[in-house]
Amino acid sequence: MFIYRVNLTTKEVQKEEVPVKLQGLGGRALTSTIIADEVDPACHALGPKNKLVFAPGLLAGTSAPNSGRISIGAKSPLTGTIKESNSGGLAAIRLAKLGVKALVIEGQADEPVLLKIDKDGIAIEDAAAYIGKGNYELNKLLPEKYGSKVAVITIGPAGEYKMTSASIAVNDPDFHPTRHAGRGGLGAVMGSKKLKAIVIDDAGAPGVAIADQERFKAAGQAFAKMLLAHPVCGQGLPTYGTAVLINILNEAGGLPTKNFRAGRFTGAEKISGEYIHQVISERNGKTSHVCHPGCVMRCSQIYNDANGEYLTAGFEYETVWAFGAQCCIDDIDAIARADRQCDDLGLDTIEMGVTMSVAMEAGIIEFGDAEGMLGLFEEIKAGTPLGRVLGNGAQFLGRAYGVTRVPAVKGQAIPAYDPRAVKGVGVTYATSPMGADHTAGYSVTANILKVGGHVNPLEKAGQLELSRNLQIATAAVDSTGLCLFVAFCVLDNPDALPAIVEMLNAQYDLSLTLDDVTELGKYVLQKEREFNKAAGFSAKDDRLPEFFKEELPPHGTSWDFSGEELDEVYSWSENAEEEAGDVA
Amino acid sequence: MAYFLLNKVVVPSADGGDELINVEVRVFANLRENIPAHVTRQPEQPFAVQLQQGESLSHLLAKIGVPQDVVVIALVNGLRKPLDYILQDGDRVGFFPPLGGG
Repeated sequence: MFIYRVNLTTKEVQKEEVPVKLQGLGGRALTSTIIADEVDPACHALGPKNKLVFAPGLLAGTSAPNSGRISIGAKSPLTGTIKESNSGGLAAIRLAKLGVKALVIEGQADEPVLLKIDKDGIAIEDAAAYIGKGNYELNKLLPEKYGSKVAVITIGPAGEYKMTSASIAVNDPDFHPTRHAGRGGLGAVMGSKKLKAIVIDDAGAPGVAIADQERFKAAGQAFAKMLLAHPVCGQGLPTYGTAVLINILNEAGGLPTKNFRAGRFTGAEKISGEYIHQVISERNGKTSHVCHPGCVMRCSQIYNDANGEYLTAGFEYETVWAFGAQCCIDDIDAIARADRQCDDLGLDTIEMGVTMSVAMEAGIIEFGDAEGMLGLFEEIKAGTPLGRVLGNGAQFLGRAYGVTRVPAVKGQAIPAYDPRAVKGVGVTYATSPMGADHTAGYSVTANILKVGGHVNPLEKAGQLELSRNLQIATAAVDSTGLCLFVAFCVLDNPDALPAIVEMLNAQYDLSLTLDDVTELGKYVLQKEREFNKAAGFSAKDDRLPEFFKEELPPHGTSWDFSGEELDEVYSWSENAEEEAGDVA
Repeated sequence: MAYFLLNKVVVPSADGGDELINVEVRVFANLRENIPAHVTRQPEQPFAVQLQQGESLSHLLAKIGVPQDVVVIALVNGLRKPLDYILQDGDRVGFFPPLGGG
């Protein structure tokens, strides 16, 4: 395998051997290492000194089930921290089969360009014809020109405008731009480099080398069986998708409603996974669908409009919550149209949903105004002054309108679990080097879902340890390129993690142990924290907004972790002590 | 005395309870497929169920026809409870199969 380095200022392309220190890394471990080692933490995230790194996970392009994640890293223009955001879709598989361990984009082009990657190398091509186009149109035009077997990584108008909510889209097998590296404004980094698209053609590619095919196959098949046998991975996700969480979070009193004013939403049933399942079935959509070949969990779906025409896919819990309960909207079609707009314009649905709720807080539109919300997307699309303020996310909009009730940590909007009623994930929001990110340490498992044990979601006991362990494990999983949803199985089945380690050992001829997985996770977090510290972040940034001290109905709980308690989450890391000193 | 009076209007349950209570029930995901039509007109949620005082979540499941082994989470008034939890009048109950997402 090798690393491609493309300097868009000089138009130079280098194909490098993988340095020894990077050989055992993939996905998030690789993007975060390259960013931490090569990018000045003080640089402007949208300037020429930032780099944008694409890295398939360690298992990408193999027969390992659910190994299609691609990690994308940079300094985030939204948070100012290091950022890794990962996505499904076809890109990771195609890049891995071409032997690309990482693609590093440096500098900035003067004119719009796209990259064409195939077995012969990389070509930098003029992209003027694609400027201003949405991701859906790009997913039609690019395969028409480059062939129907390619994978495409694209940005929409939001990325071109360098909006800090902008995402990077990856196509699914139907050429729908429904898989995104959503969080942290990485689409703006791509836009700042005037890189509109990356087209990946793996025709004639060598494929992924496996040191011990038999051993790999056995471990992969065993792992697939475990996933299929697990009730969440094998039955729950394929049937109802991720929005099945709406009802349980609502019942548990942790579904953030009306900009985190309550934990229950009266319209929950009308936006629930069960209801969506029924609507999809009635309109002849698909209730289960894969985002990449090799997925056995099939949590995606095809959602048709009332006329039976395709509207959107990959309609996720977080998205449904953000434009739904958070904005007091219970019109599932309006929420699906908002999802479609985000996918097309290239926007993070979590950031945009929360931004819409802040727009309601500011009085730009009323809570519950679905048509008003959809109208604001037209402002973003047209790049009007209001649209640009909206496209820069919840915190930016809050500042522009004098709104203090902005749910964000390190500038990134808080996702779909109220930290006062699901305290373990609140700890993750506060302390993750990524800013508020549920995926970084998904304590919802033990707090709500009875996966991987049980920790009472309303009490403080056990949450710091739960979040710490999950943050470490997640950093490792994000490096393998496995979909994070394998964690439901890994947390319940003691044979699952050994099967993953066995696949890695068989592929790379290694002798990793379970302890090495933990060490990899710690290494990644340490690297990320070092970058953040050099960028000016300290323990005082690992906190939730003030308003979470208010009591949350129905349980009347509030956010009651002290700063000192939260700092214990990273007490194991080398710079923890020094950081605590900085604050004192 | 109270026992005597109440006993006149209510048939005692096997547990010896003698007052009726009403609970508000919601079942989710594929558990909805388990509910017989005579219990409720699905998918209408929530539905009311009348029980004897002293009856537990297990009794409730039996009454609505949902097998215990498919329920992994029971929430009462938003709090997780074991299936031997004794229900109180006015409780809001939710039953869930294994589920996840994120």
